[in-house]
Amino acid sequence: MIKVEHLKKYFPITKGFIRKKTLYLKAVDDVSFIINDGETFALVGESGSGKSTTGRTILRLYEPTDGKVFFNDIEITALSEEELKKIKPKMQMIYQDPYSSLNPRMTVFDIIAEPLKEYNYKNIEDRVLELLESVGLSEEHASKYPDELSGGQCQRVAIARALALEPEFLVLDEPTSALDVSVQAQVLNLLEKIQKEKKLTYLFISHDLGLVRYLSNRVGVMYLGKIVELGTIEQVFDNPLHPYTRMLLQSIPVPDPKQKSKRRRIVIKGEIPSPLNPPAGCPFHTRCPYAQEICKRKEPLLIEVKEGHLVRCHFAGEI
Amino acid sequence: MRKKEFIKILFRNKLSVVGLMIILILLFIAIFAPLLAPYPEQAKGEPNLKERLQPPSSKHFFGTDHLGRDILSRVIYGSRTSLLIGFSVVLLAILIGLPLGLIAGYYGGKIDLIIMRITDIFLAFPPLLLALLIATTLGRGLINAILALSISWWPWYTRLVRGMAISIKERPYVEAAKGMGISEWKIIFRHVLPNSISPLIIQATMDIGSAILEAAALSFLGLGVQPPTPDWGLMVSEGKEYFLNYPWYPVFPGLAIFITVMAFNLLGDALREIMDPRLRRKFL
Repeated sequence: MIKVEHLKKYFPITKGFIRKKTLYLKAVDDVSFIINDGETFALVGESGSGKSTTGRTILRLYEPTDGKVFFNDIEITALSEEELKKIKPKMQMIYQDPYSSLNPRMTVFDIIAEPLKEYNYKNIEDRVLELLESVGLSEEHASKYPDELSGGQCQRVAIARALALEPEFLVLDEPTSALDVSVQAQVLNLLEKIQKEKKLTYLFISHDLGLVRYLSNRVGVMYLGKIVELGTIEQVFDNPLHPYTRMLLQSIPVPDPKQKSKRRRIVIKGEIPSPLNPPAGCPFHTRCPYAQEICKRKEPLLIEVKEGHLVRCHFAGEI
Repeated sequence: MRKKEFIKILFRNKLSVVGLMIILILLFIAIFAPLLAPYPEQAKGEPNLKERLQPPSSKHFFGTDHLGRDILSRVIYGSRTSLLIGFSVVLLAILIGLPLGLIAGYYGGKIDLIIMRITDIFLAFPPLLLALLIATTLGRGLINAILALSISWWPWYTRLVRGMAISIKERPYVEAAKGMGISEWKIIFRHVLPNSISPLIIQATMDIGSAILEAAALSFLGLGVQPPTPDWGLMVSEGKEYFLNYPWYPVFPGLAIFITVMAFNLLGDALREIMDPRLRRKFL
């Protein structure tokens, strides 16, 4: 369904009056993966790892610097603006902050009706009501403005808007991280329900590994714009091979503290390096407890260790 | 913010009510000037040399000028000129400045660079000096004064709107609209413009007052409205020669300018407080 091949997105850093491009921020640096029909593929990583940029570049909200993205065998990255407009309804996005993803000067009805009008749908009023009901809202919400709704309700409106054009693929960019915990579960259940009903494919971007495990089929772990580990949920969560993945997994709180003490702890030093000036060799070597000489010099390749389980580490399986 | 809430807050702030009332009264006076002015013919310029430079009396509440014309009538008729200048200068300046600001802010890049350098050229001059220059070039008269002031005014609006547009276009709802394939001009007019416009409305309200003041300055210097048109600036200018012996002559039109400018400033201040959510809480 979605095939991402060697996707790169570099942001030029411009300086001075003549806007000379002095540096490139490599937000996404050679990322490849496939998302199968009807599955949820998760991208996890710290802030600044490039997971959101990957999602936006797939939808061509950002123009990719290099690489290809296929959607049902159509090369999205090669489409002209007019051709892209025909594909756009099929691929929609849900944003992190539900308030800022809705225009504060438009009513809920106008927000949901806008894409319908743009694509000349008929019976817009009925369709908006139908969409509101499908996300658990009702007619009375149609005349409200976003600032009269709660965060959870706003996110439901955003979901209704995204569903308006009958998409097949949704990018969920941390869809619940701005919501209260109690509302998070409701919104996630709604997203799951819609996925089953409409047979949607999800790209789920999150830093919450607990949610990822609960919602996704496969997962890619990103670090400084690169995928460092990729596999099914079972492969990555039960048998993490990259030290970074292990570090992330250890940050999930465990209900039983005794259980925690049994796990092998990896203490990770420092913070994610600046993507403007990434370390030479393996990008993770500055924080890796197992780093050897070779890690500083040579960048490891993404190697398939088992079927469908890929790792970018010189010592995968040894540590 | 809903309309009801807006009106509720507007009326809680006493100064804004005062400003609004004065402006409404001014509009009323301007519209019904022929009915309100005791001597409409003199207001339009007909001399009455028998009653030159009379002090205020029951016959002439504000006294008469050097041609014997009733100053009250001329002040009443002057409100038409002043409001016409104030509103048209701001409107014209917005008509030029707003689209350019939206384009510069939304598209960025070279077009932004070009538009901003042009505004820099205009903003490099002190505003009144530039207006004087343009007025001198275009020639005297009401229309030319309006044009001169608008031409020196629009870059401020371009800057203001550009700044807002730059911040609004990064909002997720604009990106969402792009992601849905909404056409660019609809994004600009439906999403960027309505969310960029509050500071412009505030600025424009205050600027109506400032435009009236600058127009009065142009008239005072002889570059604006020409006699015998009733105009406050012009009346102050003519009256200044008689100030020592006949002080009522320049004082009444001067007061009119002062009250009008103050009213627009009060309303603008109130609008700023209402539209700024941090200040708004004070009134809720």
